[in-house]
Amino acid sequence: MPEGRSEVHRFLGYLPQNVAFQEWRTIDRTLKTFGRLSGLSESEVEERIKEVLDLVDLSRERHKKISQLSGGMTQKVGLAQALLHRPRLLVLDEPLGGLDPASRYQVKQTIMKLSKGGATVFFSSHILSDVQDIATKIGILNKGRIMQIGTLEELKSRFSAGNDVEIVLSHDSKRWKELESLKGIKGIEQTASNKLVAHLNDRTNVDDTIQDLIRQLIALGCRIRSFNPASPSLDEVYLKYVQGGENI
Amino acid sequence: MSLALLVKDELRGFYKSKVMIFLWIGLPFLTILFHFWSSLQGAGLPFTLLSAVVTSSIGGTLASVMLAVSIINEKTQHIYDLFLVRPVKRWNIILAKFLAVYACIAVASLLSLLLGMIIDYINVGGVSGTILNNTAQSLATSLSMMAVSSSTGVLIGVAAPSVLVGTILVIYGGNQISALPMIPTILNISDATLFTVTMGAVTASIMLVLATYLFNRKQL
Repeated sequence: MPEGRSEVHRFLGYLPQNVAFQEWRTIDRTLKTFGRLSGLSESEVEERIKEVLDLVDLSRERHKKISQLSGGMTQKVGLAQALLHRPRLLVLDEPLGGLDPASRYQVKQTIMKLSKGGATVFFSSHILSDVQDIATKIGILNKGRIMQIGTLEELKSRFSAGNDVEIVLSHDSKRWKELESLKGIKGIEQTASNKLVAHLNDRTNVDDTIQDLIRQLIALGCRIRSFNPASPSLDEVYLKYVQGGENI
Repeated sequence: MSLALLVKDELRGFYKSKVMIFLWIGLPFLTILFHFWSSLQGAGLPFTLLSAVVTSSIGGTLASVMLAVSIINEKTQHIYDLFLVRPVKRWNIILAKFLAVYACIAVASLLSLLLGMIIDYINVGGVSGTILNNTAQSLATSLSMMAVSSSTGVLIGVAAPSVLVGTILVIYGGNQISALPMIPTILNISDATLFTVTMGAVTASIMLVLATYLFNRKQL
């Protein structure tokens, strides 16, 4: 970024991957320096340090030295420094890397809170379940290039996964195998003890087949708890896009 | 504003990481050791003069190694990323490092000299005008040499790819370059002190400008 563009710098909060600080600093000194360098006054810095440390749950460690912090805590200090000057655009590179499950949950909540507060949060992650949990729009990157961009639903909808339906049973009479002979059904498989996936034929009338399927399942003594079009996970979507390139 | 803040921060870092204590106690202590050693050898140099020589040679090397190692470490750990996403000019970061180390080393030199003058005063019963004059010249030379070695440390820190390479370059090259301000004294030209100080300031400035140029071009 060109130097001297103060307005741009004030607009932006950044957390690099593998964030590091000078080891002689305490959390307090780190945030004071970055707050002042971001253009905050001393009283504003004091006020904001309290707020951001509360947000990332590090208030009690405020006067600890950086060299005494765990990887997860250092990551949280990194997030705190990015939030200090209330940036409107946050760029977070792997913000959830190295965090324990509790901290991960907390950071995810923080990101969602910031987003609801009007900030634009742009983050990268290899942990796709985290992306699925918090992102409102997802970009799939492969070898440094954006392959696809859209909401989770938009990305999923580009696959023909609509021909599979997922059925959760509250009672399994074990007779569902008989449904494979039903018109419009390519096959049925059990994916968990009470979960079935029915593969429908491509050219079938989906609505009619589903009606038949429900009716026959009940007739065969099964009790249905839920019935949904099978939806690929973000991991599957990612793999398909990366393997299929931009032609999907 | 950021330069003052960064210098203050660097000084605080040296204080917290005990670097200052090692410099401010270590250098005067070394000068006393050298004094006893030279007395045993029969050289019997005035302590004031000896302290100036010791601080410039050892202090200069220490300063350049400290600067080079600290910059290389911070560069490889990407510590500067978080400074550069803020309205901070790159040359401020470089200059703050230089000024903080130079201030520390200058104070250590002054402490050594002061100690030298006190010991000379006790030994001889006073400090002669000639010794004072020589001391002032030595001080000017040592401060100029230290400015050159510190700025060379900064340049090597910015340019070197690893701590090992940086340290080797500082010991091989940094020390030799820091001898530049000695040339007017060696050539015995009139107003040698003035030439020494000018040469020191010019060389240090060139080194710092080069370091800033490289730092600006580097993808950190």
